[in-house]
Amino acid sequence: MISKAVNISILLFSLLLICVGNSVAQIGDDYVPIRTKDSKLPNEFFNYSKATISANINGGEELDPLKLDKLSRDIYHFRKEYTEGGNFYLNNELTNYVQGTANELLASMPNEKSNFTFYLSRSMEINAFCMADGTVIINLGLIASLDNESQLAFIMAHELSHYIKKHSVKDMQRTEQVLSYDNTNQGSNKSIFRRLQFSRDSEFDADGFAINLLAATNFDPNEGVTALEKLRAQDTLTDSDPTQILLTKYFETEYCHFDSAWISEEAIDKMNSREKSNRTNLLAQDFGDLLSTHPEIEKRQYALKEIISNFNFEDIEKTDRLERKDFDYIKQVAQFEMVENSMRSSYYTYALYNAVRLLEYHPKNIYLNTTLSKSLYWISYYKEINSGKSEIRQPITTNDKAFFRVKAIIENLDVTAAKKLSYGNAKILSDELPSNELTLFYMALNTEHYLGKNASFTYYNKYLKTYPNGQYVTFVNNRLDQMQ
Amino acid sequence: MRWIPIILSLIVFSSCSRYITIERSERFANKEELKKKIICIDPQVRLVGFAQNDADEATELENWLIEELEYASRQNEIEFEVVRLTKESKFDYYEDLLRLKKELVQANNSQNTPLNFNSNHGYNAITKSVFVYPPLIAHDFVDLSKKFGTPYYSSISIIKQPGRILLYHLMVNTDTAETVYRELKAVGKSKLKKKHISQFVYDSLTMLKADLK
Repeated sequence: MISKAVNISILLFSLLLICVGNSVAQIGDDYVPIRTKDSKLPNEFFNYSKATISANINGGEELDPLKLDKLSRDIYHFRKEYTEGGNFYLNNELTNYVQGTANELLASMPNEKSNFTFYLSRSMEINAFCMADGTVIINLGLIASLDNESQLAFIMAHELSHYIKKHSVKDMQRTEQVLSYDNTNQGSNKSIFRRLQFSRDSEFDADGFAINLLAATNFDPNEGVTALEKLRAQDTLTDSDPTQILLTKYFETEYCHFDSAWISEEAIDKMNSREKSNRTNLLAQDFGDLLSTHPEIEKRQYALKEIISNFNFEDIEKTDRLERKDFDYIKQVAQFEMVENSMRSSYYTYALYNAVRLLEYHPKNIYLNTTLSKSLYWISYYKEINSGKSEIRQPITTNDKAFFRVKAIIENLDVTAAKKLSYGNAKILSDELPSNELTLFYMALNTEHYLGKNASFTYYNKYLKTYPNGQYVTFVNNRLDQMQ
Repeated sequence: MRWIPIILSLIVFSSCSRYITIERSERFANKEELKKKIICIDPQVRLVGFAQNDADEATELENWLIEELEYASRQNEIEFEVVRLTKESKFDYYEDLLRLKKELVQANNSQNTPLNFNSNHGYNAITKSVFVYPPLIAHDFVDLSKKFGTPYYSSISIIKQPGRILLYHLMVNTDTAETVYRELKAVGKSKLKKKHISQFVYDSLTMLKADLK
């Protein structure tokens, strides 16, 4: 009887949360990107000062006052830029999920809980980090790439370990000691090498401590090894080759035919070698992780396996191996948000790439199809106004070869081919979704772009007739005025 | 012999070319009449360097920039409202205004301008490209004119990079999604002073008024 009452109250509470609470994305035939309701920004965005940050730095009292001031100043300005930049999510199901995972991680250390503040960044890099004052930032790209909550918990536990074990402070102290002993200038190469070495040591230490943290929870510590692999592979979906899908499905239609010159090996090699020279240098290749703040992933994985093998998990009482079923859903939302954030940042090639990959799983999804159409339009638009040259920037540091191939293809397209592809895809989409406002609007834009003003006249007028109160009415009226 | 002074002058001038101010100001074809106010979103000063006090100095220069903007707009009789993140800001500041600002900057970055200048291009690359078409922004901001009472939004940033200072002023009409004004200046100076900001702001608003009204 009691359990029934508890169940009902949980159900009611959940319903209340859904009704009152936060922005919830819907994935089905369509997707509505997360947009937090208009509300006041949290006080923590403004109520911080260098003095507060200094007080929150774990072990800060052990530092020389000047060093502490420098560290606090750096954190202060980083937080300020982060707040002013608006590159984060607030109060939605993704942030709630991250906070929920953090709560479970910190359940065994209630005293530590108040030291941390968690933020979810819109960044698409597979990364997370923790600052010396306990501010933890988890990137969207990380959630989109992991397989389960235990992997997320491991990465978060790793970041919490940096704070709990005072790594920032200790690294500064160790560097200072060695420098005073060596009588070396701070900016010298020796100093840089030592700092990097200390940083790498801290990474190993944080990995080990993270396993201890996970051991006290219901998360699976073994997933830590796979989580590290994700950082290296940087590949969010692995089932199919997006290049082939793009070429066979979207670049080969009745309106446009793909040209083998777009995927010439020469062009792709050129792209790969350019990326390679941008990312690495000879020294880094010859000396492994010597010039890196982080050890090689392989080393970390070996070390982690050793730690786990020495750990007797059977001694620890676990109620249940925790694998929340909703991680798959959260991951999907994160992947859709990757598409949205690529568009928001005007990284059209990356948006196209992410949309094509997700379309394999959601072929009829209106949001993905319209995003693909929009990204093709903007790619062709900028190719034209830049006289054929397109400024296609790489949005994130990635090792994803599939993305480089798509990028090479897009760079190889000439202006006419890009316009033709964009027009062809818009035409197919507007035939498939005749009652969609966005597809009709982009059909009009594409027609104007490819076939000229007169041809687009019909579509703009059709838009005004069909959607007299539509979102783009002001723009369309302006466009028609200019044409006359 | 009579050519020697000319050749010498050329050598002297070419060695000084690094210090010559390079300016570029584009006025796009569709001249508009400014009937409404301009909302300037989050004016910024960024000092790209490694000096410890850079961030504090940038904050001071940023406050100076805002004071100068208010002064120059009064002088030029332009209704110019500066909007920044404050404690009273709501989330739509990010969703609408900051997002629009990013979109405007990105749209202009997609053309070869001093903003995306890198060491692979020379300064000559800037003057080679002439852009006839104004860069469009995404069409998702058309409802802002109803919400904020004006379709004109601008972004002003000053960035000090090693060896040069970049100053740019962009303005968009959200009803047409077109960049209506773009002023980019690349100055070959290594130190950013308040007087640079004052000159840039005053000149910029004077030109804006003359150009669009």
